[in-house]
Amino acid sequence: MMPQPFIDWKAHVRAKLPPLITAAERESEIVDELALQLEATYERERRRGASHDDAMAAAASEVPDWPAFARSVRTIERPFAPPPVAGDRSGGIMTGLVQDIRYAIRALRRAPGFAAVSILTLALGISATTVVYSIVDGILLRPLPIANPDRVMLARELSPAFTDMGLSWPNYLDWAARQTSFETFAAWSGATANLTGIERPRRLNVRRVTANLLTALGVKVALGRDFTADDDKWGVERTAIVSRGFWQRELGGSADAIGRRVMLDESPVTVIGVLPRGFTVAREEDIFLPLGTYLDPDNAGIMLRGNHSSLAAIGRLRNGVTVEAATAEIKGIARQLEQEYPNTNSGNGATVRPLFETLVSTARPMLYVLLGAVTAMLLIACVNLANLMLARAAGRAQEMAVRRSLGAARWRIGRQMLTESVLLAVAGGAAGVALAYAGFGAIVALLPANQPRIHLIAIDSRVLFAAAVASLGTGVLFGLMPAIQAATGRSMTLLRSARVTGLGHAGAGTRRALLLAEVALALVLVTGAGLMLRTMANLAAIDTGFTREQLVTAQFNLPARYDQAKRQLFLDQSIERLRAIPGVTKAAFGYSIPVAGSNWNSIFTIEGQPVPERSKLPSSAWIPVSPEYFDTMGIRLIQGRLFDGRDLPGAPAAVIVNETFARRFFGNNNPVGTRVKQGWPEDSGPFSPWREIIGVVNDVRMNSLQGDPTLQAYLPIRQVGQRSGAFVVRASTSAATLGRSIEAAVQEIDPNLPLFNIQTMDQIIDGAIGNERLTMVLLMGFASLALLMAAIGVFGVTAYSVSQRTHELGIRMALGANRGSVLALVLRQELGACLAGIAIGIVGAFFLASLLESLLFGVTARDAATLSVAAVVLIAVTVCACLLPAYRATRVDPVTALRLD
Amino acid sequence: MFHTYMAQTDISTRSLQKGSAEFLLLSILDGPDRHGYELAQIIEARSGGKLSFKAATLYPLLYKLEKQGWVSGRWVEKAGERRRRFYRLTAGGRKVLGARRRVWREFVEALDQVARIRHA
Repeated sequence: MMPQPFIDWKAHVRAKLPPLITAAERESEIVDELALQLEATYERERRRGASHDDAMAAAASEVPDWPAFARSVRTIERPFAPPPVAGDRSGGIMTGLVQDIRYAIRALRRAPGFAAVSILTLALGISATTVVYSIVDGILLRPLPIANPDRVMLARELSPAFTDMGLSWPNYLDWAARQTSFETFAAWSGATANLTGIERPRRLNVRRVTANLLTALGVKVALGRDFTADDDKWGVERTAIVSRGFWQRELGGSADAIGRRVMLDESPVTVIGVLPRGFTVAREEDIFLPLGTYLDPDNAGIMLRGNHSSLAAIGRLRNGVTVEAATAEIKGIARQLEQEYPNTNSGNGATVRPLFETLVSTARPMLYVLLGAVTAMLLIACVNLANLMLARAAGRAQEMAVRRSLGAARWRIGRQMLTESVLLAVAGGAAGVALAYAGFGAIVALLPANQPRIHLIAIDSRVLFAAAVASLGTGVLFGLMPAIQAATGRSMTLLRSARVTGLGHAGAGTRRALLLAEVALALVLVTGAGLMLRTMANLAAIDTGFTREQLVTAQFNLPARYDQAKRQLFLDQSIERLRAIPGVTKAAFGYSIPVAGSNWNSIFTIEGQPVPERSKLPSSAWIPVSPEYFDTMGIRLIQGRLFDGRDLPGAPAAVIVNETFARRFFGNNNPVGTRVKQGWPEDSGPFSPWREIIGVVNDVRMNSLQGDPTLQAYLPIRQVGQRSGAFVVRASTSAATLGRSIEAAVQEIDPNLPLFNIQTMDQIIDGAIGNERLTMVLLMGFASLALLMAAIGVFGVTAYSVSQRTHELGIRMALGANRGSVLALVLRQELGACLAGIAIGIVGAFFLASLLESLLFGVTARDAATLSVAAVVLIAVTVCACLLPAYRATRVDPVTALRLD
Repeated sequence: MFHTYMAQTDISTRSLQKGSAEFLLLSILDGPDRHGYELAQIIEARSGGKLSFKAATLYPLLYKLEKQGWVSGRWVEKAGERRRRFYRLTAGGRKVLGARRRVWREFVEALDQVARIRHA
C-alpha cells in the first residue's frame, strides 16, 4: 500500500473554519471533533482503495460549506457567546484585553495571507525608517557632548580662492587678543600621529589643542588633570589627554595610567588625563596634545602669517552675545589685520559658525532627502496597511454584524479591531527592526568615511524607541480607520446587506483616496530615484584623468629622525620593494591623492606675465611626485617631457603643469620653457625658486569628482622632499587584497612605520561620492518597494471595487453593454484616482527635488525627462495593476450577477 | 423496522430526514455511548447507505441536542488513542425519545392503515 501522507487534520479544520465566536475552549473541542471525523472518513476511503485525492474529496464532502456550517454552529452556541461578542464589562479592562489579544491572535492565524502581507509591509517600512533614522540621529540629532553646545562657535578664515581656509597661527593670536565676544577663545587642529613602542605600530587621530580648549567646550577630564599654560609651550615635555577608548585599549583602563608614557611619532608623551566616556566631537579622537609644543620658533612654516594649515578657533560666547555680534566682531578684526598685514592678509575674511553646524552642514541635505524619502515610504506602507485593513473589515462585515446583533457593544468591536492592528504593528515592527539590523552595516558603509560623527551612528535604545513609536503609531492610526467603520456600522442593515455589498461605497471611497496618496508618494520616490540614478551615471562617466582600476594607495608620515637624504633613500627603497610584490606592476610616490584632495595649495606667479593684486593671485595644487608617478597613475603627457634622472637636487628646478593650467595662462602657446614661482611675488631663496615648466599632462580630478578641473603643478620629489605622502601601487590582479603585502614591504625597511588609509582608488572615489551613492541606493530601494506597494494597492482596490460592482456590471451587460465598454468603464473610473495621484505626485516631486538639488550632478532637479519617465512608469504599473481585475469584470455572467440579490 | 420503511420509499427523503434526524440520533443513543463518527457510521449501515449524515449535518444537531439537555457529551481518552467525545442520552433525552417514539408509532400505524405501506 502507498505510504500515508501526513495530514494535520486539526490545522486543516482551523484553516477552513470561520470564527465561531464562542469560547476558545469550546471552539477547540469542535475543531477536534471535526478533525477526527474528517480523518476517519479519509482513512476509511483509503482502506477501501481510494486514491489520496479521492479520499481527500470524501473528507471534504463531510463539510461542503464551511461558512454555512459555522453559521449554524454559531446560532446553536449563542448562549455561550464570549466577552468580545457580548460586550461583557464585568471582567474588567485587563481580562477583556487579554481576551481581545487571544482572539486577535486566533483571527490573524485564520487569515495567514492577510497577516503575512501586513507584517511584511510594515516590516519594510519600519526597517527603512529605522536605518535612516539611525543615520539622521547619529549625525544630526544627537547633541554634542559638551556644555550648551549652541554657544560654542568655530571660526576660520576665507579668501577669494577658498570659501573655508585654515586659520594661520599669528592671525589666531591676534583674534584671541582683540576679541571680546567669547569668554574662552581656544584653537584646535586635526592631525595624525604614529603610535609606536607597541607590537604593531598604528596611526592615531590626534587633535592639537590650546590649553583652554576643554574649558571652551565646557568638558572636564574624567581622570587626571586638564592642560595648563605650562603644558602648552614649545620645549616642554609633551603631555597628552587621551580618549576613554585609548585609555582602555592601550593603558589597561587603570587609574595608574596617569603619568604613564606612550611613544608618539617616536618621542615620549606623558598621559596626564582621560576624557569622559562618550566624548567625541567630529571623529573618534584618540589623543589631545598641547598645540604649543608643536610651535617651534625656528620652524619658519607654522609661524608664518600666510601659512594656513588646518587650524580653527573654538570659542564659547559670553552671556548675552549673539552669534551675529560675534561674527561681526571677528570679521572686523580680520579687516583690521588685512590693513595691518596687506602682504599676507589682503582679501582674507573670517567665518564664524556654530561648531555643530560645521560638522553636520555637508550631510544635512542628504539627510533631509533620506528623511523625506523614508517618510514617503512609511506613508505608503501605512496606506497599504490601511487598505488591507479596510478590505479585511469589508470581508468581515457580516461577522461584525452578527456580533452586533448578538449584543456586542460598538466600542468593544472597535477595540477588537484595534487590538488586531496593534498586534500586527508589534509583529511588523519587530520584523522591521530585525531587517534593519541585517542591512544596517552595508548601508552605513556607503557613507563617506570622513563624514563627521559617523561613529555615532548606531541602532541603540534611542533608535529602537523611535522604531517602536513609528510601528505602534502606524498600527493605531491605520487600525483606527476600519475600527471606526466597524463600530459605527448599523448592525441590522449590515446583517442584511453584508454578504452582497460588504462595507458599501463609503469604504471604497476611503480606499480610493488612500490609493491616490499612495500613487502620489510613489511617483515622488521614483522621480527622486531617477534623478539620483542619472547623477550616479553622470558621475561614473566623469573622466578622472587617470586609470582608476587596480590602483592601491597607502599613506605614511615619516618621523623626525628622517632627514632629507634618509627620506629620499626610504622612498627609493620602498618603491623598489613595492614593485617586487607579486602582482604589482608599478609603484610610485605622490604627495596628494587624486579625488581625495590636494594637501598643498599655494599662490604663484608666472615669469613674464603681469602680477595681479595680492588678493587676486592665482592658486594651484602643488604635488611633489616621484618620476614613476605619471606612468603608475596612467596620466598622459601632452607636451614636453616627464620627470627623469635629470631632475635632481641642484639641477634646474622643474615643474609639470596640467592642461587647465597651460590653457589658462598660455592659451594656445606652448608653456614649456616658461618659469613659475610658488609663493608670494617677493618670495625668494631656496624654498621659492623659479621653476621651469618642462611638460604638460592631462587634467586630474583632484579635490572631488565634480566641479571644474583645478590648476595642478607637479614637482619632482627629489628637488622638494616631503615627510608625508602616499604610495600608489598598480596591480595586475585584484588590488583589494594587496594592503597587507604593501604594509609588510614598507615595514621591511622601517618596522616602526605604520601605513594608513590603505585604500583602492575605487574605494576613494566611492567615498568621495558616498552621499550621492547612499542616497541613490536608498532611493532606488524605496522607489522599487513603493512601486510594488502601489501596484498591490491599485490591484487590491480595483479588485475590491469590481467585486462590489458585480451586480451593477451584470445589469449593464444584461442591458447590452459589450465587454470592451465594461473594460473601458472600469479602467476609466479606477485609473482616475491613479492619474490624480500622479498629478499630485508631480507637485510633490518638485518639492523633493529642491531638497535633492545639492546632491545632483549633470541633471537639474526639475528635469522634465526624468519626471516624464517616472510618470510613465507609474502609469504603466497602475494600468497593469488595474487591468486584471478590470478584465475579470468583463467575465461577469449577467445572470449570476443578478441573482446575487 | 424503521429503516425498512425508509428503504422502501422513493420519495425525496430530505424533508423527512430533517424532521426525523433528531429522532434518529436520540434512538441510536438509547444504547451504548457513541462518538460522532460512530453515529454517522451506524446510521449509514442501518439504512443500507440510503441515509448518510455528513459532519456538516451531524454535529450542529448533536450540539443542539446537547444544548437542549437531551444528550450529554464527555471526552474519553483511551491509551494509544486520541481523545474522543462520547455522547449519551440524558434522563430528559430518554423522556423525549419515549414521547417521540409514541408519536412516530402512531403516525406510522395511521399511514399503514391508510396506505398499506407494510406488506408483512
